Amino acid sequence: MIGKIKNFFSRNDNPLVSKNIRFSYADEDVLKDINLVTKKNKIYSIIGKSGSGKSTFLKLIAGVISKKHRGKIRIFGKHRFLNKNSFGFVSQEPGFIPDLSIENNIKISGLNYGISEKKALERAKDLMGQLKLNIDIDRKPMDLSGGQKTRLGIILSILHDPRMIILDEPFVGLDFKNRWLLWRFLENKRKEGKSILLTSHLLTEIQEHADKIIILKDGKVFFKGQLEKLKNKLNMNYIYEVRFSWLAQSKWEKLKNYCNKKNGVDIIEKYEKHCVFSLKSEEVKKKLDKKFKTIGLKDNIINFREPNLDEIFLKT
Amino acid sequence: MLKKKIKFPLRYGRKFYGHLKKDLMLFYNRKKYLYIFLIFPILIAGLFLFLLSPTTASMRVGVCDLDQTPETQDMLTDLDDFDIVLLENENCTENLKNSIMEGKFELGLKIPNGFTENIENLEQASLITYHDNTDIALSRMVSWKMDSSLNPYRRSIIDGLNEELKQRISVARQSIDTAEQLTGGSGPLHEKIIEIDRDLERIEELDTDFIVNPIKTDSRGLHHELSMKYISIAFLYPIITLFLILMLASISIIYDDKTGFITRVKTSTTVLTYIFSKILFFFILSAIVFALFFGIFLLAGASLTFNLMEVVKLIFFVSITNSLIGMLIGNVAENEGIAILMSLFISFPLMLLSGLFFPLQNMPYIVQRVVEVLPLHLQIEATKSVILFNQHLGMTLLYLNVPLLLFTVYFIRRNI
Repeated sequence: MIGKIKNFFSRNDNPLVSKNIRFSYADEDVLKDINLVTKKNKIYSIIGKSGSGKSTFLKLIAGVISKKHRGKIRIFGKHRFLNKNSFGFVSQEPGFIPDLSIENNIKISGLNYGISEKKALERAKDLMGQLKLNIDIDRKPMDLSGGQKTRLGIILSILHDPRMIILDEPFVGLDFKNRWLLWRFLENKRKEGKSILLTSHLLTEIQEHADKIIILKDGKVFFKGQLEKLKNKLNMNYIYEVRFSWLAQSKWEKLKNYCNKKNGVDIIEKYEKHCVFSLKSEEVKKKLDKKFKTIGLKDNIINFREPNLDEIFLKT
Repeated sequence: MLKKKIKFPLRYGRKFYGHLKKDLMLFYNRKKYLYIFLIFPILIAGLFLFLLSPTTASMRVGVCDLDQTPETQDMLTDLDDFDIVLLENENCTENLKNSIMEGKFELGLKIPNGFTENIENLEQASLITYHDNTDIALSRMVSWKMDSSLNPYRRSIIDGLNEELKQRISVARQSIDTAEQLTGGSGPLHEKIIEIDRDLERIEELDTDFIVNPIKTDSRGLHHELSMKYISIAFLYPIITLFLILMLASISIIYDDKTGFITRVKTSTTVLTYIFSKILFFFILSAIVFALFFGIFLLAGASLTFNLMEVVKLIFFVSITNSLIGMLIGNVAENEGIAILMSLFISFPLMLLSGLFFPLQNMPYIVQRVVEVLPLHLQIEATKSVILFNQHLGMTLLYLNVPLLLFTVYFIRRNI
């Protein structure tokens, strides 16, 4: 018991520690056993197919979902209830008060985090500069464009200068310019020592900007780490795209059998005569080419390159 | 260390103030809510004061006088509260009924043939009244008003009868005096005559009031110093506050949920801080309703003595109960429309069971016991003791609020 109490109050500087998180909506198990520890000054990006529980996991961490769950969540070593000011949660809905001006929204949000109205306005002005949001704060938030709303939503959620920023699908509906701006902003925050945890479907951009990728699959953490590690885990260091001049069903079955025998080849996608393979090494490509000849397939190589995150994600 | 100790309550104070400020600003910015909130209690208080001060405007009465004697004409002249219109005798009853249906008369009176003769023969005479019984309030009033208007005429008949009786008895007693002298002043016959004379004397001294109404009920309210008009504040204030706060609190929860503000609440403050700030906001609104009501009743001449501290406690407990019920409705309702309907669904039966419109004592035993624990009934009883009787507020409302608060925290955390 004493050990549990000590553990509860123990100081741990990891931004997030989640142990054996289980959560279900009605009869459906959304999160089955999530174990995750994040480190400081890093951008973590959670990816997963729709319904894999990404948003649910973030909402549980932030305390938006207060339904009973199993497992332990600690933010900077403390229960999230005792450490609300150490993180800022940016939800998919910006959470404005539409009938009040932007200025009043800033003041109220600041007060909600326990900071004075004056300080909230100062911080908002600073953050608006960083996010290049030049707007008249006497206007109402509903008068803003989609990109402006998203940026204002982020500003309202981090007015208290939290140590960790949690963002649920922040790039939805943003054009390239706004996405680029937001990534730069998040990278700057990382440089300032903030920890960032976000969900997104933009895998190519995540590959470029995130320090670590977390893949949720079937309610569990399927992978956590850097892209290279994931490629090795999946035996997927190269992508081989081929268009056959003719692909009879019997020949396709033979090819499938060969790929299933763990020769370092996997079929990622097939559309008519167009096939995409993932390969463990260049050596494997030579063996596969030989196999094409043995089977009697005439191939026309389209592409042989390193895989991107979209393709890796397809394999998961 | 000291700085940290000050910082903690300061931060929570700001969070609480933030929620309160948001609700106050929203209330001020959404003018339609503001105007309805301010006008509604003024309108209801004004209407009630008006309804409890009936005007002396006469009621139009169509009369079919089929008897047409000087006595019936006298009787009609005595009906001061009515604006009498005599109808032609031909098809009189039908015409009278049609005129009432058309709204020309509020009441019809038919004096049947032989009415005066019946009275002269000391037989019961009857009058027939006609009214539109689909007008419930008027139907209730008509019989009572006609009865009370006929009372002076009834009394004059009995007075006349009594006078005549006295005269006749006086004559009879004179004859008895003569008979008594003839008996020589003794013997059984003399005793009998004396006995008859005593009985006649008692009848001669009979009071008309006794004949008209041998047992008079003198109903005296224990609080005769309180006029009916001012007693109604103890009912109206809780009813109107319940109705308004239920609607505003439920709508406010739905608004916060739909705009995503509740997400910000959950990630920045606590649900308890949020609920307490709402309670304080609705306490301010309840105090405004009280001030409006009391102001209007004061202007109408009300003279009520109460302890200000007890009134503040009363408003506080009333606002806690109502705002918590409103928040629970906001939890269940999907949108503002359903929230308003549910508020009506709850407040309307509570209003009917408040004791303002129908006496609770007429209801079945089980209903009476249920009514005793209904929030509005408890609020009315508390308001009566504080405002009308200048007594201390009991603890009953507090006992009601504790489980309500637990329910609300649980549901808001669970559902929103």
